[in-house]
Amino acid sequence: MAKVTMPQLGESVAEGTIGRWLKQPGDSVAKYEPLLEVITDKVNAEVPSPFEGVLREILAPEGAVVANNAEIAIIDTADEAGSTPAAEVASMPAAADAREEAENGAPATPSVGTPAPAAAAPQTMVISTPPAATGDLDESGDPSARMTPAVRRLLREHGLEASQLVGTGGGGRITREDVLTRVEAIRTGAASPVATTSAAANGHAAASPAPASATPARTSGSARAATSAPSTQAGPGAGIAFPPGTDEVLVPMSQMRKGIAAQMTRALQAPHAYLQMEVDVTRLVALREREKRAYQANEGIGLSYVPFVVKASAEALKRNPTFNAHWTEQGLLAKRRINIGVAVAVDEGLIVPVVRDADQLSIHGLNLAITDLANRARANKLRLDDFGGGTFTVDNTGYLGTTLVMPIINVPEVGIVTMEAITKRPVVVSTPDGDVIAIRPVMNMVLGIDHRANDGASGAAMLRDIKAWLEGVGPETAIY
Amino acid sequence: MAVRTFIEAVREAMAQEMRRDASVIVLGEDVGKKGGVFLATDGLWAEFGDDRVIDTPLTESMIVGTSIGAALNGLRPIAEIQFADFIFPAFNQLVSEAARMRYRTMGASSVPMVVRAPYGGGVHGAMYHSQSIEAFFTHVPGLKTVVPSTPYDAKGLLVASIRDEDPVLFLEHKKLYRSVRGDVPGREYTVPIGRAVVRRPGSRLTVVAYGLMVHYALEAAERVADEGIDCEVIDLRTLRPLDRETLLGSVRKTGKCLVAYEDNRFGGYGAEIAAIVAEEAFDYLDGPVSRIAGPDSPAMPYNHILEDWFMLNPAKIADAIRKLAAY
Repeated sequence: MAKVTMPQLGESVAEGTIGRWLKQPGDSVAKYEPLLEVITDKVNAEVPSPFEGVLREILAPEGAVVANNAEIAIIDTADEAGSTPAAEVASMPAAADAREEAENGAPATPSVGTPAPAAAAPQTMVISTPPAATGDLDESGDPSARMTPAVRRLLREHGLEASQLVGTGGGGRITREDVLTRVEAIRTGAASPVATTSAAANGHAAASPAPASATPARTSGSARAATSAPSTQAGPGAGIAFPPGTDEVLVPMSQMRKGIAAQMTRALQAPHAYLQMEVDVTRLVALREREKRAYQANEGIGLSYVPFVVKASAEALKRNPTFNAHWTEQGLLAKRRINIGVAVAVDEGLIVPVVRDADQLSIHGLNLAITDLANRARANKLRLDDFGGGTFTVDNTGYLGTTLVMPIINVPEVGIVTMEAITKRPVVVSTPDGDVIAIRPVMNMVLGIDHRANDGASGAAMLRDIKAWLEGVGPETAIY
Repeated sequence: MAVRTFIEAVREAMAQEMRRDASVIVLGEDVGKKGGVFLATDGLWAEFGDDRVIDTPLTESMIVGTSIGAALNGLRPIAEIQFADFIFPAFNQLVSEAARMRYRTMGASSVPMVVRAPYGGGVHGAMYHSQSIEAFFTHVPGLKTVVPSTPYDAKGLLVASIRDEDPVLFLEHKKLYRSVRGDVPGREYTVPIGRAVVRRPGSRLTVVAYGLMVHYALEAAERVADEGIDCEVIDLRTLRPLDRETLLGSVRKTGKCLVAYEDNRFGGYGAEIAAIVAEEAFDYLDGPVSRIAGPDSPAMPYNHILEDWFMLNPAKIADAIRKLAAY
């Protein structure tokens, strides 16, 4: 007899909701066979059975919110299977009821003709490879357990991590081809399926250059810039139907909405302070205008401003390490790796996947990574490994036309920078012949800081470094 | 260049070498007047006479033992074992004497002898006319083992074997004798011992084969090519000394290795290939080194249905390729 415990589904995930039991008491289950679905605010994950045997009892009914490591089921392991007492099966009906309840939609919305988005397709991502989602011991989400020698070597040689790849081999195993395809994509951008999917998003961002705004420094994947359209299409208010005789309707909360609400409430505890600067992006715009056609032709994806801002941020974070950190009750927890989150608007809300080691990627590498994240985010294909571990966030609402956003820090991070719309403005420019008024593209940037961790002066230094990098862009700035 | 069958190429190699070098002799059961049960030596007795084409008693130990003695005394004997299945009475002569002679005499003497042996199944030969014997002999240091798959290689490798200063076991798959044709130059040429060849370049997976299995592997590779599995097929040609460079180079390129051999699986020659690949190309492997081989049955059955069950064929190899490719 072995107990199944709730796996930890992500770095920052403390609990999960039992979505659906895929096995019922009395059912045989093979090791690694999907046992149940767990819902978190970020993903829906299938949890594979850690044991082979017969499911004896379900301890956590569907819909229950369960803390990590709590016991959720009992399995008669293979060598003792067959002894399942009949009485235990009696617990089935209860579980079934719970399931029914859960399936009908959590907080009741019975009468409401709720538009599809809420009820139907999970707002969250589906993990397709059970082993990765396991949460079982330290194997959780660690695909290395299934890596072949060739894959291990190639990842090492190319400085990649297994978590950056989607395995297409047997059982979701990452194959040599998966790595080589990714490497080739990073090199040329052209061939990778990932890059292809991303094309749409990037293309969009590229199509509306002016608003796109921020040039994230290396990694932070401000997917939002790449993202664009979806958020305008499916806002939360879209398609609410009021049944006759009702003046108000409670819109059911999706798991993502619950997650966003909880995260924002947590963020409220961080005393925010804001700094704003104008960035003259004349040279950046010129560079992108010059390169974008060839880049699109060569890589099959558009070149947005976001990777530039992520790059600028990563460079600035190196010079201002107190912003590459988390705030903890014990104080500032500085982070060596620079992992930049990129806010991505999706149909159901907002998620912030992370570009890891953003400081080690080229503009092109960042663009690929961001495009990939954004596309997968909108396709519900993000993996748990895409979240968590962020050390700074880039937020891009500029393409929507904003010029001054007060961003909320993605706590426990201590900083977030926005990309605002790039607008042409008359500015006074000093020349050898005296001051003249010129028309220059300018982007506002707002840096939100956790004032517990940093003060205004250091915030200004951080933002000034971002600005300096972006204004320092020139024809010689390397895309690759 | 003439189109020749496999057995015509074998015959041509012997005839040319016998014309070129008077020390080359042929001996074996019915190799003279009859020209051998497969007619590999057909015409040699008529051309070279009793002194150089010798019919022997039905005694393999004597055939090989006599050949060793002749070789030590300046001749270059080509001994024919009528069917490889019958080579075991000569096991001692090959393993304990021929293979060790150079070592035992500190290089003073060698045994420039070729032992030709028709091997292999799928020819309705039943238990005693179907065996693959390479695993027993490739284990032995000092003995070279050659298994050509094409008429061109059969001639070139047999010439090279005859000219080699050390004993060579020359295995000819019976099914290839008359079913395979190919261009064979009329001139003298050799194909070097110890060199494999890439018969079909590919990127996804390496299939290692020799003898008849090369043809089956090529056919299997064509079948799976339509499914997007691009296989490289290596024809080892010489089992020992092994061409590690070609083998490992290919596996390092493709990342996956399937060894196809007709012999029963356990302890077969392919196991050595698998071990070498696992040891020396480990960091490049993207899947388990795999074998597709005959079943561990005591012998090839006579019943045709069971014989088909025993024998590898392109479909079985293609399935193994698919399985490994999908790993």
